[in-house]
Parts: sequence; C-alpha cells; structure tokens
Amino acid sequence: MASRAKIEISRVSKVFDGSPRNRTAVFNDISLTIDEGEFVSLVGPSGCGKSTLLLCVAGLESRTSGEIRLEGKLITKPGPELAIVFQEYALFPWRSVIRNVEYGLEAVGVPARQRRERGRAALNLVGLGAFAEYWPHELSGGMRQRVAIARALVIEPKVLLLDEPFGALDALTRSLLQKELSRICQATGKTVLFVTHSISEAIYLSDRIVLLSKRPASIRLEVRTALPRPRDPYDPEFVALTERLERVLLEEVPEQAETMVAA
Amino acid sequence: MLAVWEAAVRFGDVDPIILPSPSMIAETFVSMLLSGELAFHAANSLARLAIGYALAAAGGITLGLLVGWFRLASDFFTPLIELTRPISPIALIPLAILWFGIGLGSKVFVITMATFFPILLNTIAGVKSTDQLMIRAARSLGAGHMRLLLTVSLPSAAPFIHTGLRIALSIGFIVIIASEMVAAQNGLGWLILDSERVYRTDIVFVGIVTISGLGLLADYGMRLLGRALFPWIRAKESQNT
Repeated sequence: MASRAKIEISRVSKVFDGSPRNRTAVFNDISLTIDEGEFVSLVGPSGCGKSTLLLCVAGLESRTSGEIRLEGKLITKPGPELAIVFQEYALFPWRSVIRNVEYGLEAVGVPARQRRERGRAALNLVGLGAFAEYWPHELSGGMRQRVAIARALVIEPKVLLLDEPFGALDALTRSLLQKELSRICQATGKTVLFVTHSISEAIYLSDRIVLLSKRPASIRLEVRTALPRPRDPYDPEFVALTERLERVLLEEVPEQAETMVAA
Repeated sequence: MLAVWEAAVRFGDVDPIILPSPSMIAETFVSMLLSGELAFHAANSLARLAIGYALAAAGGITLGLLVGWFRLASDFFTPLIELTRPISPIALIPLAILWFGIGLGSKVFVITMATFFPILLNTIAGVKSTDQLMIRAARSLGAGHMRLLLTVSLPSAAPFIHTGLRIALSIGFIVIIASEMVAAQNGLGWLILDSERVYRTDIVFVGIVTISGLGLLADYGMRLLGRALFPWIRAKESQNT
C-alpha cells in the first residue's frame, strides 16, 4: 500500500473529572487511522466530543486511556508538528497580521529575514498578501480565519488540525473559504483532521468522513468519498450522500439533528 | 464661577488671607513662574515622584508577572501581599523619616509603597485573565513556558498593567504632596504648607493649581500612551457598543 499511517488513534477514551459524582465520559474507545495526505472529517452532533478528540490529537488535552501516535511517536504535548486552527481564530490582537503568521517561526528560532519571507509566502497562499501590515481587528472574520490558517501552515506542520474553523462565518464566506481550503490542501498535500457539524462541508472537503455518535461518542460510521474535485454540492451523488449521512445523524440524536438540518 | 469668585472677593468683605482673588493668584503664579521658583519646586516634586514611581513600576510589574504566572510564586507571595496591602502609605511617613531621614530616601520610599500595589495587583489580574485560547494557539505553534509568559501573557496583560500604572500615578500625585508637607525643604507640598504658615494663601493656591495641573497632564499623557499602544482595545469597545 502506498499510503502511510500519519496519525494513529488507538482505543482512546476521555472522561472529564469533575467531582467524583460528576464524571462524564466524553468519548469511548475510539480508534482511527489517518493516512499521509488524507483529509478526514469528524462529524457528529454538537457536544459529542469531536472537538475534545481533536484537542487530544493536538496534545492540548489529556486522554484518560488509549494512545495517539504521530508517525509512530506517542503524542504527549502540543508542538509545531500539529498545528491547530480554532473557530474563534485565536489571533494575537497585539501583533500585526504578518507578525501573527511569524509567531510559530519565532518559537522555533527561524531567523528574522527568513521569517518574513515565509510569512509573506503563507499570506499570499491564503490570498492576503496585501494585508500583512494590518491589525487583526481591522479584518473581517473570514480574513482573520485565513490569517489563522496561514499561521498554522507556515510552520509546515505534519498534520493540520481544524476545529470548526468556518463555524462563525456567514454562508457566503464559508463556502468561499471551503473552496480555498480545498485548493490549498490539494496544492500542499497536507494531512488534515477537520472537525465540523456540517455534513455538506465534510463531504465537500474530505477524503473520508467519520460520523460520531452522541456522547459518550464512538465511531458510528466511516465513509470514503471519491467524488471528483472540485466538488459540486448540487451534484446528485453529493446530494444523495448528504441525505444518507443526515439520516444516520438524525437517528443518532433526533432533536439535535433536526435543528442542525434546519440550520 | 471664576467671575463670581473674583467679584465676591473684590467687592465683598473677604480677607485675602482666607480667600485671595483669582486675579491675585494668577499674578502670583506668573511672577513665580518667571522667577523660576515654581519650576524649582515642581521639578523637585516630580523628580521624587518619578524615582519612586519607576521603582514601583519595575517591582510591581516583575513581581506581578511572577505571581500571576507561577503557581509557586503565587502561593508564597499572595498572603504576604494581602497582609501588607492595607497599610496606609501616609501612615508610613514617620517611619520613613526615621529610617531614611528627611532627604530623598523617605519620600521615594513612601511614593514607592503607595504606587506599588495598584501596579502589582493589576499586573496579576492581567496575567491571570489571559485568554486560554491564545495560550493554546501559542503552545500548538511551538511556544514554551517562558515564551508564553513573555509573548502571550505579558502583552495580553499590558492593558491591565497600563490601568494599574494610571491609578498608581494619580495616587503618587496625592502622596508626594503629603510626604513633602511632613518632611522636606522644597517641593510643591512644602511650598503649600510653608506659604500657609506665613499667610501667603495666594501661593497656597498657586501650589494647588500647579500640582493639579501636572497631575491632569500626566494622566492625559498616560491615556494617549494607552491609545497608541493598544489600538485593538478601542476597536473592541466600539464593536461592543
């Protein structure tokens, strides 16, 4: 087989310890392998723990049991090999756009000139080359998220993790950024783990979709999508797959899935 | 208001020792300004304030970062801070004289004590209120512990520190006058008290006006500084309202 396992999640569980009486299992016994260059989406009802799973992969959240490996090495702490993009952008408001993008390069000790060059290249990649000297608060939500993506890509992580990155954006910006992300991933061949609650977004972007059940989450269904890119959400096959996955989600949590479909 | 005051003093039966007229005060102000006397006292006051304030800022920010960031430092210093914080800096003036004499040392000591705590407490609060999301983003971009403190917590605490510095500065202006009234041979505090003793109420007013004006000017400068340094704060405010 040509594909190589990039991330191996094996039998991972997470229990939030409140008081002894208030132990909540977030997810249970999840095993999942993501291959080099693969784009995998985690989809599930809100509150099912998909974001927590992503944080565990990022090394930002501890797991209760099980192992997560990156290229065979156990993940124990966060680092530039696993860059994460959050829904809320998490840009540093006290840094200009270019200096936000350079942050990770500073942390690993890249010299200033090289930082500037690579930062500019990353901004060009997300189409914000002209906004290098702006402040984050001067940009729209969609532009801020592009900066966050550039900031994550510039450090050349082995895996890009995205936690509902387009969840706070309006529909138009959202579909625009989906297109951009798809293009960038095709161009760079990045391995991506993507969390979303939108099934059509997952189908649009992914090579493989992993549907999680309600809390405590486990893997409900895995689907490979081989639709040719760029994908068209109005294509009959696309629509059929959307309907099929939505039905599974509806079975999972009727009341939540309904509001999701409505939205 | 000034006109009523002027008229009341001029045509009413008011003793200028109790209340000199605005024009008289202005005249004294100008003559003291020209003779350099006012500048001499103001410079002395400001120098003492600057030294004490600078010490407090350096100490307060440094200790604040440590206490806000390191659990161990917090456990050790927090009870100490809570214990010493309520001490009135004015009450320390006699002790300061005892320990440091009536020279520069005692005034600097009192100013430092008075301005240290607002800077310290605001710094601690600022560090502790760092957005966890920013910390997470920075960690996942490869930042270690010290880099997090210096490149995430410090800048995100900066607006808090600035507020602490502003509060401390206004306290400093109050305390410098009090300490100069007790132990000094010059400075605006001394000038005010000494003039009162010789019934030069006009000079008392000149002193009051000068110190108030300087305080106002300093605070205005701090506000401008805040606007220049933290442009995103104002942007957030205008978004929220």
